[in-house]
Amino acid sequence: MKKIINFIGSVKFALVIILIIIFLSIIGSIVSESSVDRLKHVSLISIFFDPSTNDFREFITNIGLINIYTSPLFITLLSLFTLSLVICTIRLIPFARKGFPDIEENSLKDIEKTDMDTDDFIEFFNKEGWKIHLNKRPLIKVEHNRPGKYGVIIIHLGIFLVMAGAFVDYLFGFKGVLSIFENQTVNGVENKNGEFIPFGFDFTLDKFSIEYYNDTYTASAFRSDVTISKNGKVLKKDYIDVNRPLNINNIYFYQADFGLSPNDNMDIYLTYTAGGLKKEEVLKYGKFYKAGSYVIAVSDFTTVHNEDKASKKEFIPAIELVVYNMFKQEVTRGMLVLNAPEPTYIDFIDMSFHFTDLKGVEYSTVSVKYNPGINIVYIGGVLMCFGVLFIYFLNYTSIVFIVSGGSIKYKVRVHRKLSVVNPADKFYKFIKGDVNGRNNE
Amino acid sequence: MVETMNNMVLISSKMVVTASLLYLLAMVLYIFFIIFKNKKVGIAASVTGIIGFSLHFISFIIRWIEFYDLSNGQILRSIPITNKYESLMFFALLLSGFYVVLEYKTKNKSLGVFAFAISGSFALFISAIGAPSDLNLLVPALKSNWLLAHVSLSFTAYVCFTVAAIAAILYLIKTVDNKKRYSYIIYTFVLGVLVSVIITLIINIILGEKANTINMMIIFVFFTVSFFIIFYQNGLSLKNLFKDIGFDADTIEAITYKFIAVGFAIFTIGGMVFGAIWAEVAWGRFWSWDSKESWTFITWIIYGLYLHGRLSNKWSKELAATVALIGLLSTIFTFLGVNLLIAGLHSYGS
Repeated sequence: MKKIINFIGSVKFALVIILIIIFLSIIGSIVSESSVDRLKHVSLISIFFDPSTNDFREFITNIGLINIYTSPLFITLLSLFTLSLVICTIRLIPFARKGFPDIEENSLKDIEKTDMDTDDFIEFFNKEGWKIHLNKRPLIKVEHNRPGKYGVIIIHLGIFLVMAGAFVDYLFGFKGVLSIFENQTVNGVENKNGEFIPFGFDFTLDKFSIEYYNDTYTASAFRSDVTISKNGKVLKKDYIDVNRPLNINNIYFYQADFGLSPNDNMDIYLTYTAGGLKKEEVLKYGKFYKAGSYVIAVSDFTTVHNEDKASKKEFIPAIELVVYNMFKQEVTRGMLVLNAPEPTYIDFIDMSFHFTDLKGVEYSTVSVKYNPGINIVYIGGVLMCFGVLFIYFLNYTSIVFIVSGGSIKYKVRVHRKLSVVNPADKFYKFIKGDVNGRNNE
Repeated sequence: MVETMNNMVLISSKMVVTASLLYLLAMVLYIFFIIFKNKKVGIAASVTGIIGFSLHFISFIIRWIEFYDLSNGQILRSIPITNKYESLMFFALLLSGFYVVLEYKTKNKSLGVFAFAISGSFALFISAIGAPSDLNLLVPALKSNWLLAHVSLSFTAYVCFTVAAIAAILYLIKTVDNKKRYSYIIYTFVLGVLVSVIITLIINIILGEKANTINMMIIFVFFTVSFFIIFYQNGLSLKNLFKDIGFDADTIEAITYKFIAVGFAIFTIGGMVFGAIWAEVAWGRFWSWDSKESWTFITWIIYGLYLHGRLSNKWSKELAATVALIGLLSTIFTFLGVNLLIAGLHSYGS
């Protein structure tokens, strides 16, 4: 057992795992669910796989490369990497607790002449914030940046927590996507396996809106105004924006997408004049309505480019309206653009039509996530930040010295031999000015 | 996109062009300095580089102020690093700035050739070839205070890695004298890649929408192989050029280490952790294995390996310098390759 633990915790094992992870990550960044159909047209690949077929996709799927990052192989490698990291971290604990071991006077190899006494050095180290150990006097041990000893442990622990948080999410969390129309209410979402996960509350999209920068078609915000309710009672009215998710009972709702989707339930508001009378009708897609001595129906829905920048929408909805006689024989048909400046007048039937409003066609896509491991991930991230700062900027340093007979015998030990910051530099300057090229253990 | 380009933005763009020319002039002067060891030429090189950097810095601030006005006074969200033009400019600015500080600290001019060659080429060609330099209104996904924290720190780390790689190339030029050494092959290859990246970038911008992934890859591979062969054949002659540069090999190697150490810390915090937090806030996924994220992870792992190997003293300096160059290749791909070749969640303003 000990052999296995030693093997998994060894640098060689970690290196091999890391290299395989790198290799698979490179493949994964090129081959993915979305890119595989583009890749089959690449000349080199099309030599072996007919681009008009799904052969390449099937080949990639069969060898397990289609979704490499969620494949059992990749998850196993990440797990082994985490395990290796944990073993390595545990091995570092004794040093972090005890620091550099005590040494005897005969191990102090560096000697400098000095006219200062022990108290001068103690005062210097005190002033510089070193921890001074006097229990073995006349041998004195001083330490600086003691938290730096924990740097590697902290960063490894941080990585471990990020991995652990991700595993918690993987096991206990869920993700789903809601495409929801205005005024529609839902009470749950399907996860990636198609299982329905109830929220425990009702989620209603009141309104989806796009805000634009002045005089441009550039969107400045995508916003979904929503109502959260339970048993008919409104609990909260809030909004979701990109970079501003909504948190309800630790279920997060993110603004992901939007669009227009013609459907049988959309309300098409049409104003028409027949025989000098103006009337308003709310039409449903594909249904027939009496209009004066004719029958009308919406037969198609599309969007057209908007030339009017003042309206701020680059594309605007349009419908195809068909006019029939009473025997359902087609008389004419034409496109009506939403909120056109003028109604469309058809002289031979003496009628005008104005498409004035549209409801229930614009949808907002909201991604939903329950992420029980996210706080563990955040803690891991914070530890990683502190860890790297500890490692490189708190360079744990210990000096053991003895002053006698007009000279100082000492030994400097630094945790990071190639340091960004070396606390011993000031000591060198103190005893003899700038001493370059000194060998630290 | 804003229809009419603000006058100040136009002035800022002109200043960048001037700065780029000064960078390239500085590079030429640094080459003359290295060859002839003339002190006055050295001073002229430094002064030219500093003036170029100052102009570039002022133009960056002007752009930031204009962006600040455009984005209704949100200073953290108006840092101009939101598209390809701005990010390359920011990279060039940071690289020149880091070099100016490095030269001041070390009193040595030998890295100036590489630093200003990269800064000048990036800045000039992006300007001259007509990449749109208009101010882009922020798309909703980028409207976050994490923009400054994540993007600017990521670029700062990229620059640290680039400076480290420049020093690593110099170290290998000085110490390797056998064409069969793996390190010789790697550093001449990296020099080939660097030249090829610049050329591919220019061609990509010239072709605009006509540039497709496959063509760009073919062009990139062609130039990489061509310049690799040129550098491989003539690489040893570089050794004479950098023979008496004032830096001993160990000092150059220490520069590599220190810049990677600092860059790694910044990359971990800004690139990985802040990026993950922002992704969680914006997309609900702190890590999606998006192509940019995958390559960020790969780059992070490579530099992590470098630091483990270097700090354990188990690696030779030659191996460490070689890994630093492999890290640069990964950095270049993370910074540019992913955006140019692979579509993904990070394709804003490409």
